[in-house]
Amino acid sequence: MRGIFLLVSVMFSFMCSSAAFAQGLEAPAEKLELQVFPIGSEVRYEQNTSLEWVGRNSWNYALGLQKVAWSFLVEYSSFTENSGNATLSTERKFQEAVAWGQWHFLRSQTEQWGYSFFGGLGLGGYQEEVLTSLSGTVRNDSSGVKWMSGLALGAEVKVYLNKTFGFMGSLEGRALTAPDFDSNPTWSGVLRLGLILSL
Amino acid sequence: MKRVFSRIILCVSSTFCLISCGSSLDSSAPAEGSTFLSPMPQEGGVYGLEKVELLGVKDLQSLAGRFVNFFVSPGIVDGKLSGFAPKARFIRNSEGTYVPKDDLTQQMVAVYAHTQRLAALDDSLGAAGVNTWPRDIGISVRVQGGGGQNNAQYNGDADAVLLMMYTEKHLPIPVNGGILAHEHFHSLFYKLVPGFRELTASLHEDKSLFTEKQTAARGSLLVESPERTFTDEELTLITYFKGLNEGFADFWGWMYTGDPDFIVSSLPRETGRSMNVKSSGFGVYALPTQETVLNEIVNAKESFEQKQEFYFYLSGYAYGLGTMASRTLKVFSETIQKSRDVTTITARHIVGKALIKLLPQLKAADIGPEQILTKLAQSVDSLTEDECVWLNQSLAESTGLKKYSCQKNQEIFALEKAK
Repeated sequence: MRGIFLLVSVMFSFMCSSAAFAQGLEAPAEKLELQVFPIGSEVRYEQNTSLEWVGRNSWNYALGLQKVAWSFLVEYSSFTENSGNATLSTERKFQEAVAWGQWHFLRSQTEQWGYSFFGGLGLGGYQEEVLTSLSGTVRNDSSGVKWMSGLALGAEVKVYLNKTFGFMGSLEGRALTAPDFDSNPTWSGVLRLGLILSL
Repeated sequence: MKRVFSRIILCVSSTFCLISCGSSLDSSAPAEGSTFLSPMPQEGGVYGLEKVELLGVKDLQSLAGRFVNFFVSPGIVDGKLSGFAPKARFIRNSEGTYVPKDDLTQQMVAVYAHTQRLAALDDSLGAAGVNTWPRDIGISVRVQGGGGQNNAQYNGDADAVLLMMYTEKHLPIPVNGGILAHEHFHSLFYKLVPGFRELTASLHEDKSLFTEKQTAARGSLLVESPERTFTDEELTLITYFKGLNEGFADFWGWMYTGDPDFIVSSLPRETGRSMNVKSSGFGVYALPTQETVLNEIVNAKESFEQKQEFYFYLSGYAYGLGTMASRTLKVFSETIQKSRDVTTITARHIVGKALIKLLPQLKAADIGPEQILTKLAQSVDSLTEDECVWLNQSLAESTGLKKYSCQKNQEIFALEKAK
């Protein structure tokens, strides 16, 4: 858990310094946007032990910066998988932090609204914890933080209330990969809603 | 600026490829000495989480290895278990121990760990070479039409153990070492008892394991083909051997775990098969005669209008007979423990070894307490006077006759027919 928070902090620091660098380099044709995604829902498809495809629903939180056709996003997501019965059970807690770079290859924007299609590349870390419970005795094991990466393709829509604030929603499909993912790559879909603050 | 982004994209793409192509935890074989977290029983049947070494595992994904080949939700095709290998899922903790991510993987680890221990037990008790390895084991077995849950079964035709879905709130059957030992013993009985393979073949059992018809029949002892009707004598033999198979298998489960209630841990309703009884009273160290079983069958036949109900009753009767056999062997083990002043495990293994010697000597023609107990006496290494006397008492209790006495021959006692 501490490892994931550390990773998120490092990513956010990097994101802020990149934004400052981007602002200083060139005069913005469009404003730099801070994007906050407090609501995000992700479904990722894993293969279970019985070889069935199972959709894992996870909550997804993200913070991003966008400048013209490029955006940078730091994202945290987690889900829990439970199996077993009252005597013997396992609880698997999965959490990850990934930094995404997105290129909006097709975009249209007015003062009131905008849309874009984007592709993204992500790099981050994940950690799995397994709580094994046998007749009331619980044991906690962790995988430690491991590297993961991802590719994404998606679309987003923005609605501006004024020159400073707006709302946005996005939908994207992803291929996530790590050496010991249960299907490699793991496919997922993310739907999220967020706020825009023009800086 | 564009060059910078191109470099970033190239860098991240390369990383994506490296991470996705890196060595996978799933597909690699574990290093020799790797440990796995598994619920395992202590002596007496109390379960705790232990780190166990699984020997000869070839790959982590299917957990296939020297001792077990797993199949998930399998079928039986041409007399062999058929289906896909499951996909075990682990994390590796900071100590390097593989920890199952889900209950099914947990069950696979437990089954593998018990099977390798049962293989070692076979070797030490004189049953090496009876079974072929790796054993075929079906997990999460589903029976069409329902009714096949919370059960385990040895299928002689396929030479495989089938572990059905467990839906109750107690210790899951696939991690219950006693039940796994019980099923493992069935494979020894099937292969060592002369004529048993042919006897079970005549029952038309398990030919259509995954059909609804079979589900209904599973609770019953046997299913007749339309052209075949069993005689009372045939039913007596079938019931007797079925009972011995179940009872000796229950003893094997106790011998392996030291828990006389190992079945109850997973199936609390099965209290009738408990071996946790006082060392006295009818049925504790007595076996029914063939005549007793025959009379029971003749009387029961008249009580049931439906043949299927009659067969269902016989199945229950066979289990009752089996419990008499398992309790007899348990109390005999306790007698050996006292007689030789050895540990309970040593005493159990002495009886286990004798049982392996006894099985090939069981003959259908005169199956009954006299044959079983005299052959058992011959099969125990260095029978002592107390043990011989106890077997003689059990024989007298079973038959109501005192035909045998204990004779000393070069410091070893033997049960011999009284002159």
